[in-house]
Amino acid sequence: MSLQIIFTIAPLKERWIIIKIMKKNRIKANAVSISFVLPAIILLFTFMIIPFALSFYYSFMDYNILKPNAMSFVGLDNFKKVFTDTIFIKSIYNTFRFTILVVPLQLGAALGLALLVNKKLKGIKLFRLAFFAPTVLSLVVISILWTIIYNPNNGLLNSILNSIGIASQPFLSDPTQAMYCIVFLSAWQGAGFQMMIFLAGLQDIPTYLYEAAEVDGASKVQQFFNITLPGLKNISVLLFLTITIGAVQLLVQPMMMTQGGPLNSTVTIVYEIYQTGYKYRNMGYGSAMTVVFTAIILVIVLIQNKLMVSKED
Amino acid sequence: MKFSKKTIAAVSMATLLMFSMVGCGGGSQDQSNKSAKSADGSVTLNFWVHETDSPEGQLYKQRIEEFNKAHEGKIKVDLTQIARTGDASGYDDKVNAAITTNSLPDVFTVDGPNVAAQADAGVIQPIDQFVDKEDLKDFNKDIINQGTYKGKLYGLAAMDSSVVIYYNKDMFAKAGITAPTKIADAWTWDELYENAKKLTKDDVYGIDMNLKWGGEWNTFAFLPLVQSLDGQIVADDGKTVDGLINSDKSVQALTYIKKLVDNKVVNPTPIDNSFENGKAAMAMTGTWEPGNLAKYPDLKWGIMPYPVAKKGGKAVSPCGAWGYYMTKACTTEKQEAAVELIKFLTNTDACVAIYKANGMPPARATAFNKIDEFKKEPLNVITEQLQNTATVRPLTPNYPVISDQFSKAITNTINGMDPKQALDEAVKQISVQVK
Repeated sequence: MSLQIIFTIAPLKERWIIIKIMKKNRIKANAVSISFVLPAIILLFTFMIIPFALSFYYSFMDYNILKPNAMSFVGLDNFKKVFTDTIFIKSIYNTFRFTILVVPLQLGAALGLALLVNKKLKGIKLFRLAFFAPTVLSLVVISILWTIIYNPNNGLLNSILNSIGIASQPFLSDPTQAMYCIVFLSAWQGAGFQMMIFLAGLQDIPTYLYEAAEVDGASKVQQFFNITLPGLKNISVLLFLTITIGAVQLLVQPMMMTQGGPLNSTVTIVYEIYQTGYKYRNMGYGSAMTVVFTAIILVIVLIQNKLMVSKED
Repeated sequence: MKFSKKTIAAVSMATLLMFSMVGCGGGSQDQSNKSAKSADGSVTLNFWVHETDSPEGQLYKQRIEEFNKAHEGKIKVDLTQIARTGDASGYDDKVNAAITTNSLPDVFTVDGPNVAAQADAGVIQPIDQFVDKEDLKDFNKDIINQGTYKGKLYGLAAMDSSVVIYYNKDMFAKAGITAPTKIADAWTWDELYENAKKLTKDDVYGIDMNLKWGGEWNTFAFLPLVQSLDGQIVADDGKTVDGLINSDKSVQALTYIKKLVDNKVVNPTPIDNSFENGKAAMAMTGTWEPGNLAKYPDLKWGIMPYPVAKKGGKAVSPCGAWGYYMTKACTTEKQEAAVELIKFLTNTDACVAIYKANGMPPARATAFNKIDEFKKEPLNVITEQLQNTATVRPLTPNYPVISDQFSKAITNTINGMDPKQALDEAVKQISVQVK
């Protein structure tokens, strides 16, 4: 019997015992729930909150990582430098260019693939596996692989283009082409993961909606726009957000394939932060870049949230 | 005893928590330097190396065993081998972390150009008082230079490196070109260009200069072009670059590289092993190349020295290698032992052993004399260069950013930027990162 019920029928004298028991139960329940959440909170603190707080602290310092004891306070100097650093500003431009290109491409490809594999054909699982496989490989491996494919002399891609009469392209050696090459391979690598999520979403849409639409005489295209897309709305919003946050943190591909070149066309924000903090050992200045970067991501997320969620009822 | 579901849940959560803490903690306990002298008076040294499974890595395991046996009861060395993952970031990260947490080893390996920064930060300590001044004369001058900062010596190396031009003997004979074998006859930049042009035909390039590598290779291989015009890329104060890295001399050097690229005598994105596969008549590359060439026994190759700017001009060649240095964590009572280890790792036997392991030229004259290959053609060119014209890269704590920007200026020039503009860009970027 619930303690609440006992409480109401108990004589007043005995009620204080029941209150004591209820308090104990609440503490016990809190203890259990806290111990479930505690590991995650500790990890969150250790690997996210504390490092970010340290970053924020370092951003006001002149800190050479070889001389941790010689840290000195420089106020807003690092931030003043950040806003006049042409390479850092270029990296922001490059990162945005990458993000704006890769998000629709990857989402579109994921949705397209999900629609294709959402059929009950024999062997469809093999295709799902094949499309998903690139997401499992390490980005370093993928970058090296695609550097070979994009090789201007005898790479696979140029061989294919030559065989259909198109001249060999410079790809990664060309300032205009390099970023597009990275966009393409990144979408190729990531689409499989979002495809799986879209697939789950597609299978969640009740089939009777489609049957009803058929009966009403709706074409496949009309069904897609009026049933499929709205049904995938929540998933799309989530995936859009996660792909964007992942895209602005682009690091591995430019680091492995082009080292930021040619002519700084593939320097990204995180790559510049890494160079500044670890290669040039300027941890203070790098931390200031990190703080600015975090502010940028925050603004993006807030804008996206506003735009996407406002349409919800 | 029947455990309630809540108890089981709580216990498993606590266990998970405990394991995650252990997983995150670990690592630095085995690096502690707190125990200087153990009960029997022997000294334990922690030694970090950047080679793991390579022949050089195996050699270290062997040599440390020999050392420990020879010094049994007095010195014991604990060898830790850490892999360099792409551009040395794995090893460098571990060293950086150790600096921040004060858990450095007693002796570790450092690449030549990084010594100045480590010395300036006090991460490594001078070893002058423990070395034999007479013995130092046996080393290549550039090895002593790379290990010296502000007049104090911090460490030594067992190997060195250089860049020479390997040439295809058959292609040269067919074109009627004779290659110089002594630095006095070294080709000038113009001669190199003219001959490379003569040898460029069909799908064969005159020369392969690894222009695709970028990074430190650009500075290592091409800085001597600037130095041979008596130029430098940074002043003696270690930070002034304006007027130096973008001086006329630097512009001249970069313009020369641009000329080679624009006239298609060198491929800006070369195929791997183009020299070995007959797609390039010459290869301007490092002293590690003979190991590669051994896999192509049909190729008849020779070596000619690094080019000079003009006839009779100053001859300069690249150099530098990883060496062994003593850290600030090495307490006073262990310092003599640490230098004993460094001496053991850089004696003549060590130099010869390292050559056998990785094919790199030795750091000592007596070792050069012991290795036959370096006394005759074609490797004697390397000997002559290392003993006469090897010029060390700038010894400044700001080396990483200066070298990186110089290298980027070269890559930008190859990609079409005007050399003066590219070098001015370098000055701008260096001033952002250097105080």
